[in-house]
Amino acid sequence: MNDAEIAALLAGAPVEPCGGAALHLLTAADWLRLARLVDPADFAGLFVADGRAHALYFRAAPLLVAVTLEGGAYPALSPVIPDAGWCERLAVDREGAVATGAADTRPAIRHGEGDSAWPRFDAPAGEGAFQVGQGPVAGLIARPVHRRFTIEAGRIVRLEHRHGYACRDIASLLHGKSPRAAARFAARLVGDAVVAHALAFARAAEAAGGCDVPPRAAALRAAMLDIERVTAHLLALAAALDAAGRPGLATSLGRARDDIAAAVAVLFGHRLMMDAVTPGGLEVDARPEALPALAAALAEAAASVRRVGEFRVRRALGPAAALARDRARAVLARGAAIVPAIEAAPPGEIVAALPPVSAAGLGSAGSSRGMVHHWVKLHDGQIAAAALMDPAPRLAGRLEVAAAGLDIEGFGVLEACYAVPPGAIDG
Amino acid sequence: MDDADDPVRVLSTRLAATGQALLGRSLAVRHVDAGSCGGCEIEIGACRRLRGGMAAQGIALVDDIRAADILLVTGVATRNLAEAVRKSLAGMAPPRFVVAAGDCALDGGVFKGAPPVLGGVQAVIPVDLLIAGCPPSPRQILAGLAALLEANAREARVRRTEPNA
Repeated sequence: MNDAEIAALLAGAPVEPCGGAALHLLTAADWLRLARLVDPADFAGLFVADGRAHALYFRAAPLLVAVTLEGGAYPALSPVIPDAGWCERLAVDREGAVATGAADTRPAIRHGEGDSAWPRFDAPAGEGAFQVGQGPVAGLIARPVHRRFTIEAGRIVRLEHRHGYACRDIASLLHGKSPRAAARFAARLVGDAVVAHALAFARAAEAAGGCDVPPRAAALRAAMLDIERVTAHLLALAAALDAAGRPGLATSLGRARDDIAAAVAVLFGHRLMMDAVTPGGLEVDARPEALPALAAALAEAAASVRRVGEFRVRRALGPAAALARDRARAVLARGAAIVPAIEAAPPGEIVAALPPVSAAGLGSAGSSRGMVHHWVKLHDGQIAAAALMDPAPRLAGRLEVAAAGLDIEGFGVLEACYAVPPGAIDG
Repeated sequence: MDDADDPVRVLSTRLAATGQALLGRSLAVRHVDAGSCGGCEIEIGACRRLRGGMAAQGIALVDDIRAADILLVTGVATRNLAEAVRKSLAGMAPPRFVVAAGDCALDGGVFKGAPPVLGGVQAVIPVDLLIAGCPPSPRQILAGLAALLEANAREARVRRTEPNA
């Protein structure tokens, strides 16, 4: 069994304390051996800090490992774990750390000046193949990303992305700030996972400091996370249905989301719940007078979402039908539990003090795209280093693979349903 | 909300009053994301769905930059997207207006001072109207467009009174 082999491999490795997980320091050989033993789907992120490359795997619990950089390089995971490809390219651009043996060594977010725009795209191979560029200003609501399609006989044979247009370098902005002050930045990585990132960041800081969150804050945080996932699923479904030529149902789903947002604006003081979560607990308490409106909006969402299962809708969604079904099921499963969970939240304090410590911590939270993870290293209560890991870079790689064989219209539907915001990759 | 304060109603009234103004009764809006988290885009999407909102008032998001009356810019102005923002404005025929929506577009918001960030949209192109908020609500965005229409109508009246203007 792999699990036994993984346990044996880790047993021989030195361990450093890291709140919320343990940091296993591996040799280069063990780093690669572990990559072959784990399920590639468990890969959750990669970051470089303290002269080490760190890989995070996550199934039921996090497994954090690191390898020391040798001459600014570390062994590439991407030949074994394709999802790591974009993460390795990002590590070159952000930290200058090179993945030895990586399949793709082009920059991810670093651009040249003027005509030397970078990265270059692969030239189309074969007669009859041609390339079409799209973005960074394309679509009715533009997304800051450039896509290059190589098309042959009306089908996409290759899709490449150029990212970095929305690069704000959030990790560097966190440096030297207290976790409370830095939470505003962590929450603004990506607009459809505000609570997830704020919560993962808060949990990382709490794990480093050994801070226990009051029970009321913990219960409300879980409900907020569910609200955010429901709204993000609704937005992704609405965008996919719009692209699939079902504007009526798309508008119903979108309006259900808007009604939830309006109720949440009263409940937690902000439509996207920005700055509601803080390390140590919550900034705002729930205002129960908004619960009937929230319950009504969630019921409306459930009614609309059930229509995603209709045969005609499924057929219109084409390549995105399976993903849309999963999103619809998530809305139904999570939506029903939100209002009872808020009503059942125990009374009491909503925030606890965060001790100023010198330690590292890892925190995780669920978003509509999958788990997001934050790693922070504190020095006397100030952030010395941080890494923000969203599933977006992994999904970007998967979208490039899934695009092959589709026509442009089919890709538009799939891309909308994937809902990979460029801001989450650019950081 | 009081009906008199409802931005949608205000927009409707102002549009009726300025029906023959420079931009006519419809507005074509080209959106550009200059480096946003995606929050402002979610609310622009909500603007389109608002009952009695954008569509009912003749405001439409358009794909073609040449057809646009308004360039609606969200997000901080990043180094990497500055060129695309300049080219977008250059592609528009006058009369053209630039609306910066959201705190990031205003002055860089929380990302002010980050190395890849030039600042607000004004760091790259001149802006006619700023809409604050992180993100601004759909009604705030509509109220901003209403304000722009009103200012535009005033400008048009001044032009009409000047011969050969």
